Amino acid sequence: MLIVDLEVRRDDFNLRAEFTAKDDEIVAVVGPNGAGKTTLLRAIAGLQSLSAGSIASGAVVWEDADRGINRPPEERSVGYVPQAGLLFAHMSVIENVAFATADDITAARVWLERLGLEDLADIRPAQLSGGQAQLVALARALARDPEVLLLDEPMASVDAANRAGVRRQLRAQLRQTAAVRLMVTHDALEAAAIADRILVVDGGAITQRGTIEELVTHPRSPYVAELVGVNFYTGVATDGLVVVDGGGILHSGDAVSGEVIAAVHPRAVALHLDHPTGTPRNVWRGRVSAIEPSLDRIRVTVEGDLRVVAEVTRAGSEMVAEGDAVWVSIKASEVSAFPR
Amino acid sequence: MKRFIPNRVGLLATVGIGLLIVPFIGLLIRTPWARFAGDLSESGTAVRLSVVVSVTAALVALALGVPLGWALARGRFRGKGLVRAIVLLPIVLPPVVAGTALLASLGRRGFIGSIIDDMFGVTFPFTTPGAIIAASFVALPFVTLVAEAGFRAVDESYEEIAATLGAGSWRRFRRIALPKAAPALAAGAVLGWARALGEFGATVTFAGNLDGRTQTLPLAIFFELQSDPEAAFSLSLILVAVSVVVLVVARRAWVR
Repeated sequence: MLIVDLEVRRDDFNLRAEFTAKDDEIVAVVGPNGAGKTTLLRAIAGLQSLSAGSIASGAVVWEDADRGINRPPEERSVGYVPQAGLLFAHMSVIENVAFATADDITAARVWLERLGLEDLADIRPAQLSGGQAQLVALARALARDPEVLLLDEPMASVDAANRAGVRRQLRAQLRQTAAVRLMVTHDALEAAAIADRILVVDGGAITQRGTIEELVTHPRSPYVAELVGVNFYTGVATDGLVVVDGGGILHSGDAVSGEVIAAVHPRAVALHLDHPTGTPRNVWRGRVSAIEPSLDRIRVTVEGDLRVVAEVTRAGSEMVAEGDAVWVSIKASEVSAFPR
Repeated sequence: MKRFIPNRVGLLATVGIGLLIVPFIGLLIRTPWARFAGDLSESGTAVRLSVVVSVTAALVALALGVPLGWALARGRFRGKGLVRAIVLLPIVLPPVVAGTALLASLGRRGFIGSIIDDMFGVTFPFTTPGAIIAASFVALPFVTLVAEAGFRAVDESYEEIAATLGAGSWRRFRRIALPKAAPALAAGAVLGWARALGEFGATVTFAGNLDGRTQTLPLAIFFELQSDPEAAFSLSLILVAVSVVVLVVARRAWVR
């Protein structure tokens, strides 16, 4: 178990983070660039000293600024996979892994075999693809048999074609590893695919924590809403009727009152050419301002009383063009409203 | 814009390169090719001594200059600027002054030399170790500065990763920093060796000119010049050839 309550103050940047991660979970640390994600990992690894607070793995205190305890990285049971992999170019793949096993080549080979990398044992890192290098870096970090495994954007240097395969490998390996596993990413898909729980770091602080489902239904900030791709509004509610800041009204099935956040998944937003029939509580007229293809669906932005993004099928999108007037409808049960 | 060199600049630049080249042309013209091989074998002692002194001095300078360069590149300590200035001193110091200072400290009556003399009965002047000390003194700054630059160029994040893999500071230095800086260290060693090979002033002042003990090639050249100038030209040409080879070999490490 990793117990973190730390503060890092630098000239241009402050980071505050307090959380606990258990041995049986994979935690994703998600946030925009410059939010402090890498600083958090470096602090846990012992590469960045704390200004205040402490880090402990189980009963062992790694660092405590108040008590003057600061174990160097080599005395923390930690494995660190940096963003660029950082394999030692002057050593072969197996020598890289053996660096973490006190040069025990046999033990290193076992780790390579576990990741299916034994064929690469004798080649130099320069000859590896981005995905292979990242897996070797993972094998090297695992070979130390750490209590805490830290991964900094492990997929960043993997080209798109290999991403799915490397992600599957990464996920399988992380699932088998008994350790606290902390993975930095700015990709919601990666976090959703691999992690059990997500910490959102923004502006040097943890702004939200929860599962991906919780983030989708209850985004607490525009950043999280953008990350998981849902419509985000703030407003004042009276028993589920939300008066949105900046104009517009949303009916929610959630009977909340007071200052609220309202979130709507784009797939719950329906677009019509004529006034919709049936029972949707939220209906308004707007104008299509942007049409943006994504993989299997199309994201259509509609300006009106409220600005909303709808996800429609490709077939559906062919019926509208930018500038067209459309009707928007959303069921009240699809509007998630919760106190700010 | 078309680039051109103004006439005045071009003229002075030509004179400059001429100043650097003309002496070697003179040397080639005056070299007595007929007796070249004979001169060489007669000076065998000086050649051998030069090899021993310069190689040993280069190794000493490497052994001390690498840690010193590391401390300057990575260390955080007070007085770092002063340490760097001290390292630079032998480069700007007239060698004869260096020799005099060595004599004053490590000579038979120097404040350290006298202690060594009392304890072990060993003195440095007029001995090969004395010549090695003088050569090491002048070679050390070159090795140190090149090593410092080499260590500076090593990306520290590799050592950080090594630390997270359980490597202590010595293992990080030996297994990561040292191999990564190896080309620079080799270049520094070659440069230091070349400087030691050519050392004259400090050696003749501190260690004296004793045939077979302290008379290295440059000393032999200087004293041959007074008795047999032709032999001096032959020996000089050897040192020129060695220098050119060093330049060609080491250039790859410096010029990128």
